[in-house]
Amino acid sequence: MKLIGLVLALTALVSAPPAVEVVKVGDIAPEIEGEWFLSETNTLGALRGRVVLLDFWRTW
Amino acid sequence: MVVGVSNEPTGLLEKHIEKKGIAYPIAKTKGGDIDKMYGVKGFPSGAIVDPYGRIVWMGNPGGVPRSQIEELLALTSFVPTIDDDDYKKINKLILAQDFGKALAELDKLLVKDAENELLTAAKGDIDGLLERKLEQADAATQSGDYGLAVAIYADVQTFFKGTQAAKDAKLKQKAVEKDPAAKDELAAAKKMAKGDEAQMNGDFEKAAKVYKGIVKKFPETKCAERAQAFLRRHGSL
Repeated sequence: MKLIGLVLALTALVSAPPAVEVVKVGDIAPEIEGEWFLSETNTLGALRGRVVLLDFWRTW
Repeated sequence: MVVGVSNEPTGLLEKHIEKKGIAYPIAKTKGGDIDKMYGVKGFPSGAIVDPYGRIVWMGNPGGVPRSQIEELLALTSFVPTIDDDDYKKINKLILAQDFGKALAELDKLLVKDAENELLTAAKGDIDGLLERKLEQADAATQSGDYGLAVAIYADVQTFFKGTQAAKDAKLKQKAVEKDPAAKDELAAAKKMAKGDEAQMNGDFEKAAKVYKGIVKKFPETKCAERAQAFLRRHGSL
């Protein structure tokens, strides 16, 4: 059982997703996947035609 | 418009929205991948997206110089309304972004009242918007971003319907479309729009499929570069 656990842990390590690539000015803004509150849309793509300020914030 | 982005629990966000009286959209993300994608290292942190879906600025929202704010405003299709209830009709046209008709109305009034500062200012704002749009389209053409150029010329035709500027924009758009150098880029941009639409509907699998097709078929285009960036971000390359 221990061995299976180890194999599973190793597999998880190997198949870990690659590092996220950071966007730069000029790139198409990546979609903001998630649940949108107070909004008629839940995608950034639907806001084409408008200028959007993305404000990354925390309640703390 | 503003979109707040946070990965905190729903309950916490709802409480905060109520307490602060927040009235703009808040996107609740999962984990930290979206933050990382946007290079967020601390809070607050911001990014500005132009009407064509492109990032034009990233950084600390507290540290934007005035000159840059003005540059960013110039990217919008923002025209202020006239601060006088006598001009409701023109303001309505401005709000509907029917700048062609707004200009026609302004010209009519200016014939009788040439010195009216409110009217000349409004005309200047609308003329300025047209000038900026045409400059942006020219710059996009120069840099080989033909998809963007065509999108801007199409906007000019919509906003300035019925004017000489709209006719000129139509001719310019046709010229770009006929340019052999633009052929692959525009074909790729057409496909790209389908991928973007899939993204818009939250169908990321379909988007990835379309983007992969672009990378394969039009590898030398700007669209392929963007498609590749998406695929790398989603770990599907």
